[in-house]
Amino acid sequence: MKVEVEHGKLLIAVARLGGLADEVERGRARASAGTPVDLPSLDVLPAKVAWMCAQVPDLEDLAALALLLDTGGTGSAAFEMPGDTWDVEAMLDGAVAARFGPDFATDSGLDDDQLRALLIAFGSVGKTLPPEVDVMTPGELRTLVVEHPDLARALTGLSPRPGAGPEGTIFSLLQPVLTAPGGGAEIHEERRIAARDLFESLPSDQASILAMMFPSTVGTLSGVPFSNLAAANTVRIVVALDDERTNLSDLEARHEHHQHDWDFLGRNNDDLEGPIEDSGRRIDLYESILRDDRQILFFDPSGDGAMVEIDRPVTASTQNVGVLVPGTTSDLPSFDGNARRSRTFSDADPDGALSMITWMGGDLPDSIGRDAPFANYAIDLGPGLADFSHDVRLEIERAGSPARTTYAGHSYGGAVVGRSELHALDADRVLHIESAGMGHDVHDAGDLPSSQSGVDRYSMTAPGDLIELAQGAPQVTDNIGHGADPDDFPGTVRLHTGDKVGGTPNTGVGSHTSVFQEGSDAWQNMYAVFTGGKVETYRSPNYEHVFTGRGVATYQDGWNDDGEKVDIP
Amino acid sequence: MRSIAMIVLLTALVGGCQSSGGNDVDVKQRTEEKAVETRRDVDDLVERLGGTGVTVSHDDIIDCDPQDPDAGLLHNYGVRFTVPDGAEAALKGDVAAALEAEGWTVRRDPDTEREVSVRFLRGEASLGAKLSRSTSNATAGGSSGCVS
Repeated sequence: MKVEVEHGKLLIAVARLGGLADEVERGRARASAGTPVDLPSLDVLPAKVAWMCAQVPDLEDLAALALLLDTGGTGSAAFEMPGDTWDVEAMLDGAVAARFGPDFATDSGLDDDQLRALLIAFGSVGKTLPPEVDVMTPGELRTLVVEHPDLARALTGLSPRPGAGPEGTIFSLLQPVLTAPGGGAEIHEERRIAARDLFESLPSDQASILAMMFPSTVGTLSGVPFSNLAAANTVRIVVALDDERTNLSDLEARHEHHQHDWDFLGRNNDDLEGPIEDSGRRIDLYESILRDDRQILFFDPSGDGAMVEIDRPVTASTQNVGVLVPGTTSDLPSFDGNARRSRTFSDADPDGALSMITWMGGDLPDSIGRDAPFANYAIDLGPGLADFSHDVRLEIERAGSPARTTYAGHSYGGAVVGRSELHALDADRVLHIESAGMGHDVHDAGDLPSSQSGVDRYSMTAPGDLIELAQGAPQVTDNIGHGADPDDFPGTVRLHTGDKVGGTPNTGVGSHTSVFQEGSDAWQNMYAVFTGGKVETYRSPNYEHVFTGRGVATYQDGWNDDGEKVDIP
Repeated sequence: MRSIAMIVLLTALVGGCQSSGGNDVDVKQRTEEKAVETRRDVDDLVERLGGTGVTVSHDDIIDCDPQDPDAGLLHNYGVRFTVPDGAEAALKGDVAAALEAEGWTVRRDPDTEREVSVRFLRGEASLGAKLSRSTSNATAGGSSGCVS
């Protein structure tokens, strides 16, 4: 027998049945309390209330089944009953297995009520439900995921399937195509817009639930609104946290085991201390992200890891968006330090109109001497940063914001920003901070594509920073060297690095890092670039030469008055 | 079987590691002591500006260099608040003068259309306020400087 079921009516029935049961129970209690005599006729009511409540799970199962089978969003689903009776629970199990895989229900680790609520929430995406129906909210789903790593893991295993509705649209965006008039880049841009349009076409709650339903796909999909990217990546971070806790336990157990080894110098007793510390810092990072609901736009825990975070949502009132790319030795254990560095800028804007993004989109060199001279890290990361810049622009445009963007690279991060310009980085301003160079193969303005002609360029390098040795160094082979010196690059405004907080010139080896000292002149100049303020241009160091008994000693005692104040457009 | 001589040698070799842990604790403790001063200085600046509706935006003890956990720690503290009319003049005038008299070096950043910014530096500590020129919004922040 063929049966057609309308999930909207079933969910209304669930809501009203629950309300009726509550009302009957309250009425019975009021009546009993309001009279001194026994009312035996009321004694049957608790059993009737219990019966009503007992119907709710079956109705919810049927509603969930109808929602899952209604892939076209028509409001109803038709299915064959095997005989005169039906086993809704078994039918739902079959539908869940077909839709999410045979082990999803078990792997999720949820009890029946939780699973039912989850399935109704998932099934509701792309459908219009009656207003009186309550579906699990994104916040409730997030809590459920955080409290159930097994559920998070099960979700990361889901992939969108072909068909009608939002899930089918995501599936179609992932399919390979043979050709297009404008090539692959044109298709990529079309899909970026299509992904954005899909998520914006849904009510915001449904968009968040869709993102958490397919976190592995949505968390890396170009064009997805940032809030939905963050929702997806929350699920992935729950899994990473669970994995990292296991890893840490394993490392600690092995470390403890090694303490009983015999080695003349005790070396093998301590060789896991570094990994244990790194693992602990990863756990701290993940816990902080989940605790403070931080917005992670990209995440990959493999190897040294990759992460992109925005610290303030882009809204119509956002005036500026800054993207800070860190340098050599950056990895997940050190990501929080870089993110906090970014946050010093956005936290300082009195109107909260600056959003900062910390972009560590992939592997950066581990060692200054061994890895940093090589350009392959920047060559690999440049296209990704350029692609991300188009997502940033889309986020700004769709928010109705007039924001201008600044892409800043510190140290090796400067070479990454430089390489991204070769791939049409969509930037209003570029800022090189103690930068390794303009990017491999970028020797003069003619090396940049025409898309970069309108970019305002700024650079700062403190006197005595050893990075000067790398800037503009000749390229050797196709993988050594980082292009031109950013300070001398045509059209670049070189900025003053000035004094540290303590009032002494920010110079020497330590200046490579201390330019970020909050409140220092260099930090203030960076803030001015990020917010479109007023910068102080390069002032040359003033050196004193002192004759001593052993010769001439030279030291920097300040700055010459050769800088000027310039407005940032 | 380990000989006593070997154990004595190993004890000597790892002795430095144990004292290093003690230094970490000391740095953390000294940074926390500095943090008390930073919070006090920032809160005091907000009060001098007549700030209300104060919310803390960050209050963190962090690595001086994210890429070098051994470089020491610093404390950053920042707040958001609203200011009454006349706060801009006060910041540049009376408040700056008073802090200068208390030993702070005053750095008046160039005014922009959007905001006014003044920084105060004393030793390794910094303090600063930024006032919006189009709204009554303001931020103030401070840093302990690196403790190592």
